[in-house]
Amino acid sequence: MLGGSKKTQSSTALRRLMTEYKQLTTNGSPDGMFTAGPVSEDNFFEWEALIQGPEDTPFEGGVFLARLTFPTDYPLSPFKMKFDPPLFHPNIYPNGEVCISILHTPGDDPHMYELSSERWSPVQSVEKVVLSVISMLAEPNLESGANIDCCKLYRENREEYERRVRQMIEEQLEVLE
Amino acid sequence: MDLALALAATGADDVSDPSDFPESFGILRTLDRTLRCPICKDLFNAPVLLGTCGHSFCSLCIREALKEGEKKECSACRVPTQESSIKKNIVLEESVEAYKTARSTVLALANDTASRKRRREDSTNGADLTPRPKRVKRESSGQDVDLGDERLEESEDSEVEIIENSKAPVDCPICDQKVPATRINAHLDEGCPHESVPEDKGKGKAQWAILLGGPGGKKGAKGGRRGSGRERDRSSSPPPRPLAKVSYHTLSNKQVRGLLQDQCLSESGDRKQWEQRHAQWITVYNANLDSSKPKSVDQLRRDLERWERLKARDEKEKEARVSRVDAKGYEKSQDEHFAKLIAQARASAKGNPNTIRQGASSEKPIEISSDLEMEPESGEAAQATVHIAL
Repeated sequence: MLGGSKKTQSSTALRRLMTEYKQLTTNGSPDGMFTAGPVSEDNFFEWEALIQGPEDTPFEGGVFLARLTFPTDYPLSPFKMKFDPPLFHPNIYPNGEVCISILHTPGDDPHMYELSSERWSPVQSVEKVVLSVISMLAEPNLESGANIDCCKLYRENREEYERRVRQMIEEQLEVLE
Repeated sequence: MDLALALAATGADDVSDPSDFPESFGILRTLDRTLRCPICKDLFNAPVLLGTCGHSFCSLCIREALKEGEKKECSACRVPTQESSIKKNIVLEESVEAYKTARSTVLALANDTASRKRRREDSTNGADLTPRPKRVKRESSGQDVDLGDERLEESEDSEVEIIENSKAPVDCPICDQKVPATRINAHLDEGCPHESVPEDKGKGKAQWAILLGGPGGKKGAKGGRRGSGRERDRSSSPPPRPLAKVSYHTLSNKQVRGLLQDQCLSESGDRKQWEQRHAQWITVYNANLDSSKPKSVDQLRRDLERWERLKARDEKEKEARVSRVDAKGYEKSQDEHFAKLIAQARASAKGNPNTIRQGASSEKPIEISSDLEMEPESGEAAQATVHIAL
């Protein structure tokens, strides 16, 4: 659908994305926790990432698909990350979009209490962000909740929260099969 | 996925990165990594130093980053900074230039050594454990550089020297001459005659010499670097001054056009385009000054025109994408949802006509508004097909 657009996009962003892709393909991720790459080589600005649920968390055993959408001025601006299908997690909007400070620019603060030291900067990368998201799966940040129901459940009934998460994983795995 | 093909297709087949080096050469990966700009991940191009914290970036990268952000801070450590703290990093530039010259050679040597080591390990793990004097098996290696001479391998890996290399020269304990190991016994028996040790010739030697800046490398990297240094010293005219930033909002249209005319830039487009064009010009012009091999001003103008063309196309594409999502995906996919909301609203209006207005601040409408917030993307999600890359 976007074929032929590759030449029009900013070459800095493209080069940087190719470098990151190359590094991820040759080195892999730490402990093989995720893989990521462009959906199609016609368009380096749409990626997909497959993320393993971290061990010793209710997400263990799950494999999650996320879409990464890069702006043309990447890495000056951060990319967007969206789980598809959405995950049941306090920091993930019901539509699957991830709410994490490392993907917000210092100027853009939807909740007004994120430290600017945790924000996006051009030296961040796909690898660093995905690793942050993995650690966010293990330890939700209740101060900047994106899914209020989930936050509430997490705080008030941890057992039920964990059950819901495991149930979601089972459902997703069935879909994948 | 064939990365090489993809890179070639996009015209950027020269993308390099530390993982080009074999895994066993972690030290070279580290070296490669330290000579890269943390923003673009390429080898430094006209590197500059931020005086406020000491971090280095490509001049253009950090200038763009400072232009973009609302807060001016170092992209690496977030210490507040400003454009005036940008200083040329001359030593780093020289190091990177020298490294760029040497990189392909180092890479070829490292790859070659790694593949030989692998082959040696394979053979020692096999049944044949007796140390053989030399060359277990050697097919023509697929490397860019044919090293031609075994001596290279010997000098860089002492372990191998002992096990496999009997041809390597050793010092005669009596006369201190260099004698091939295979000859040493005969040499001592014959009472230390003059030995002619075969000269280290071949490309391999020359390649190391280039790297070490030794006699073989005089015409290589080092010479080139010296040359450029002299050129710099010779230039007597004062260096061009960086252009000052402009706060456009205080200027009239005529004044902004004047700024463009001063720089011989096009005056096409509207006021917004003029300002963007001029601001970008200042950024690339100043970044160019930080390079020891600056581009010509004409070249910069052509680059600027190209930048503007790409930007215009990007924006057009973005608009097209937004309107596509709005018109088709969003409305259609939300039809059902809207119908449900309307039905809900009607039901509650019928049930309790007096509380409709108050209802705006109570439970249900909040749910609705948060729903709507997340919706614009779900049209996309519906279209997205599950497709697993890699």
